[in-house]
Amino acid sequence: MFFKTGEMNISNCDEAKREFLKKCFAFSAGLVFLPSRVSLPGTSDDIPDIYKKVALFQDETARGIMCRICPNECVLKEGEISKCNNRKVYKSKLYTMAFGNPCAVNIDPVEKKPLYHFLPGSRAFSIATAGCNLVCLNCQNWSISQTSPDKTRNYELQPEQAVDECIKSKCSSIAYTYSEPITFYEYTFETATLARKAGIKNIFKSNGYIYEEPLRKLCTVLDAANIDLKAFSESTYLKLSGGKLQPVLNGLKVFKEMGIWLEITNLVVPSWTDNLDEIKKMCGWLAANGFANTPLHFSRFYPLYKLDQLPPTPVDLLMKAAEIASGEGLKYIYVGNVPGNETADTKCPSCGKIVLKREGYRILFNNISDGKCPSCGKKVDGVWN
Amino acid sequence: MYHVISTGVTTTILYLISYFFYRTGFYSLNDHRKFWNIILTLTFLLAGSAGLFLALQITYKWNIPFIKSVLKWHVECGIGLAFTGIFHFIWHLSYFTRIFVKSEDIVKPVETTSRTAGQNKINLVIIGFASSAVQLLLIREIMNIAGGYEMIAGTFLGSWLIGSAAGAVIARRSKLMDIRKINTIFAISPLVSLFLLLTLDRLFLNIGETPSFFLSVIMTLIALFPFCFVSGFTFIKLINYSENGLNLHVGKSFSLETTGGIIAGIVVSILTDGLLNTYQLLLLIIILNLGYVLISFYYRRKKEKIITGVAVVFLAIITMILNPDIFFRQQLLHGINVRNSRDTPYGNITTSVYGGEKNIYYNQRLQSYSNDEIEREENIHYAMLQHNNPENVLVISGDIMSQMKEILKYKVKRVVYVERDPALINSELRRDESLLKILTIINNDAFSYIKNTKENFDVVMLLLPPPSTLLLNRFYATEFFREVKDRIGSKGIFICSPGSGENYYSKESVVLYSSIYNSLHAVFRNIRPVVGNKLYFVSSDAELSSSFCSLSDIKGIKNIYVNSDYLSDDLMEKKSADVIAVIDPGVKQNTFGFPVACFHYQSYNLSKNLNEKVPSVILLILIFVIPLFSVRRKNLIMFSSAAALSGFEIIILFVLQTAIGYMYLLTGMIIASLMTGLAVGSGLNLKRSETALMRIIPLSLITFYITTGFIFNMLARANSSWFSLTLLLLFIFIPAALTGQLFCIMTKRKGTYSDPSSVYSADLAGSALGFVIVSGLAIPALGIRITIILLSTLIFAALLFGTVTNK
Repeated sequence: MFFKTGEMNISNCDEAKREFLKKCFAFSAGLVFLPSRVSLPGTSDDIPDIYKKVALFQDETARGIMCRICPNECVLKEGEISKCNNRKVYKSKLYTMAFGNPCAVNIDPVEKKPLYHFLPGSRAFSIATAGCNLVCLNCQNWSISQTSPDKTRNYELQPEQAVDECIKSKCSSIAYTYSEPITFYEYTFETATLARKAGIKNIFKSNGYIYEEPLRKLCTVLDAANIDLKAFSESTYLKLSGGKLQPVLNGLKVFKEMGIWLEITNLVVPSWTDNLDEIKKMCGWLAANGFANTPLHFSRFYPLYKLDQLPPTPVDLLMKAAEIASGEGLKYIYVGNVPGNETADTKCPSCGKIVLKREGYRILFNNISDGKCPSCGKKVDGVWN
Repeated sequence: MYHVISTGVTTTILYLISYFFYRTGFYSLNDHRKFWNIILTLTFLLAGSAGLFLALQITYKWNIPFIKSVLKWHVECGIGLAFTGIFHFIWHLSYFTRIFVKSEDIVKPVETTSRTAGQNKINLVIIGFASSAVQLLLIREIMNIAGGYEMIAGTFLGSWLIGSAAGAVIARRSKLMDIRKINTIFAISPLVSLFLLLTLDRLFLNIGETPSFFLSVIMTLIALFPFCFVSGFTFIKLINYSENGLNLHVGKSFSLETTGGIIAGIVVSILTDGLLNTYQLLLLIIILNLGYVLISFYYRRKKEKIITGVAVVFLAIITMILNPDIFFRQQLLHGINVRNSRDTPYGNITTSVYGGEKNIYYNQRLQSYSNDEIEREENIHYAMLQHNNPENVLVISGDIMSQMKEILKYKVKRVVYVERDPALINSELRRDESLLKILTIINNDAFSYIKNTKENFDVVMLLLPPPSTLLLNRFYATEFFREVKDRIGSKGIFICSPGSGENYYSKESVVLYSSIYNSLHAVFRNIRPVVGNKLYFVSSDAELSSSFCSLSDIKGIKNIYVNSDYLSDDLMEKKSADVIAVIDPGVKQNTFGFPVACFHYQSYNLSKNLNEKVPSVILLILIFVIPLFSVRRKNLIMFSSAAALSGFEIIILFVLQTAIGYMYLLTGMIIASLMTGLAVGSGLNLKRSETALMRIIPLSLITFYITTGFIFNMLARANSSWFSLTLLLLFIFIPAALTGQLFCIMTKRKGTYSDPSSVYSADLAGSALGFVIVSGLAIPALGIRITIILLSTLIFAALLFGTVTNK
């Protein structure tokens, strides 16, 4: 079993005291020798535990070290932390602080991600470290997304241990989820590589705010992804999440091109992203860019985090959004997060018959055989076995 | 993103207001410029020092933990600095233009107004009335906007008192004696504050966003300042006028102003008891006050007075017929379609429609909404499924119409629903006779109900919001759980939800949940955390299970959400175990004496805006501690006595809730008793030497607070409500009267002690500090008893260092 790094025994305490005294001396010495040489906490000669892994996709520029994972394009100088709270420059190299130290470890039904066309009825071993490259006002996981791994209570779960735990838990897949797996890219990549070797699938639940090159590399080990398409306007993206729309759209194309099973979630936030014209434009873009066979989930918003004065999304509005999506030519449309009013059944896009019936996350029947509809024999897109 | 426009607009509006005060003669051009020079210096210092930190971080690689916050405030202060710099530049621009244009300085003659003593007394009462009424109404609103925490109330009162103190200080220096002009500006100033409140809300907040604590403090401070400043200024000018022109002693003036305050307290309490809404009443007070000013100061002829009177009555009727609250509420809840807004003694109920679905907001927080299957099933079934035969059920608060759909899935014989605010109960429910055969509605404080009822229940469901305030905190305390246990026995089930279910529990949430878990553990043998959309603690002496899917199958309960379609017993069990694993048994229990949960909740809430923690602390220090340095040594005793009294007021209100339960009118009575004490004390003319009284009164206060500290438990646990209430009224009256008398003595003799305005400023600044220190720091850190005793230490210290000694 894995252990929490926050647990401390007596020898650890002594070590902590020594470390404290050492840092105090270093601090005093640093002050004496200012400004010629400064040695403050975080820059001592021993490599602290938190710098576990050199970050991938970094470039040295005249302005500092540039992280090339996501469009935030952080350029960091010595000791600075990235916008995602996960990467730090130490001795002129960018390190990830999130490797083998997830703060959330759970088991979830794969339908909860939501993934409706990927191993239905299976379970996903879900892990997340702290950090996110966006700052959504309605974040469901704000307590981990808006902080850094050195501030959370973490599990010790190296990639191989994660794979072992997944097998022990009888899960078919590992889901990199909750906060933002783009920010713990190295951990995701290494774990997914090991998982693939062990015959375990890898699920990427993300905001899709990532550059093409790292995404292409990651896609070599991923099996499925659910990407949040938060809005379809640059200004809303900026105001609601602090990000940009275009990189997400580019990312969707890469997922498709790399053959990753993709589903898209659109959280309909009242007054922010519930403009039906904008929804129509979004669906139109998806249909025109080869995503007609990609399941689209319209999800109900509940008041959370900073947007706690808004009402939940009206169910009628979600249904209208689904109608619009259908009108634009999308084949698999679901309305979720509204128990009792959900559109959760998978229908054959050719004959319209229900091929997979769901009640919540439970599969009542699955008549898809070899990826085909039993009635008309046409293909039903997805990864079914 | 930075608030370029918002900060710019706010700074400009504030500058215009300040300029207006200078133009109307409230203070000189010199003072106006001094004020803006201070703002310029402050923003420069903040922007500069933040810039220095950034430079150090970049140059020497300092690992500054709050560097992002520093960058943010470096820029935000820079914006403020730039705008203030423009004003500064404009002043100096006039210097250059004057080189070419010959001009003469115009010195305005000081105006005076001849008035009778009676007119002045009425004026004092009206100022006291309008000031207190606006205060009572605005505090309701700001609490609604900001989330209702005690620290916000403390900040409100602090900002109020400091604004008034600033007005009082400026009044001492100002040559303006035109009472007519002063009254006119006083009558208009609430509109300015109201305008600022709405403007700041729109400028700084996104649609659907609740302001952070830091932003709430800023908004409160800025919005209140114009009115409070004018209010303090007006009061000092009136008492100066009364003392010098009419020979009316300062203490008497203070007493008259306080009498106006008492009347306001009573009137507002009665009128907001379902008769008028907040903004309706606020507008009505502004109209009536303007009417008074016009009739008293502007129109001399009878005909003019009658016409003005008729116009005022007409405007008042229009305000009463129309419901302006819908307009104001719409501005605050922009993005949703507000259909109705109604104020009750306990809060504001706003009905809105969005996308065809009806939503009800209570104090600007979502109370109920359509298609709420997840919430209502989780609220009910996690508790009900645990009991073999739940026949008698107690539901505390929540949307009962919705919950009943779930409760009726069991063979219940009797459901008691306790809700403090009758206006929240759906009128359809009151007409549903079949439902009313088993449902009993009780409009009472739930704590008071459970303490006094003799009924036994199988299941008790606490559906109140999490313990975000002292008022709610009582329902998550060990003492309340004991009362519940007495009513459910060993087989009964109790459920409460202290917060939301999460994938990770931050250190702030762990401490919060641990304090409540430990309180439950002190009373119940078994506690089962259930992680749903909310985090629930199900408690009982009987065995508990997390197998909700199996239980609902066995019992034949057909649910939409709480069943195996959405949940799995093994995963629920794992999540429950995960919560227990993070619970810290070392965290202090949440009790009446140490109401820690609501403070942990506020800390949890603050953690939503990590970058604002440091600026919030700095701002609070600036607001509440800096005025301390402006208090003269000889006024320290006034400052500390006022601090002790306002802190004690908070404690008494808390004890009232603990001993009797929250009742709006009783709270009003406590405040009225305090104000009566102040009025009586400041109006009394004791035949003793002032020097002796200056020793006796502080010593009496010290003795009083020490004694009260020791008998606090007796007060909180008194069995008779009326006995408790009488005691509490007496207990707040005594220190109030003593403090009032202190004010009277200190303002009586010029030279020996101080001038009225500086005593008044010390009084206000002390009250502000006392409120915040007691509600925000002392109670959670030291507990109630030690805090009360600490109040006496505060006075003792002032007595030691602040009293005038013979040299």
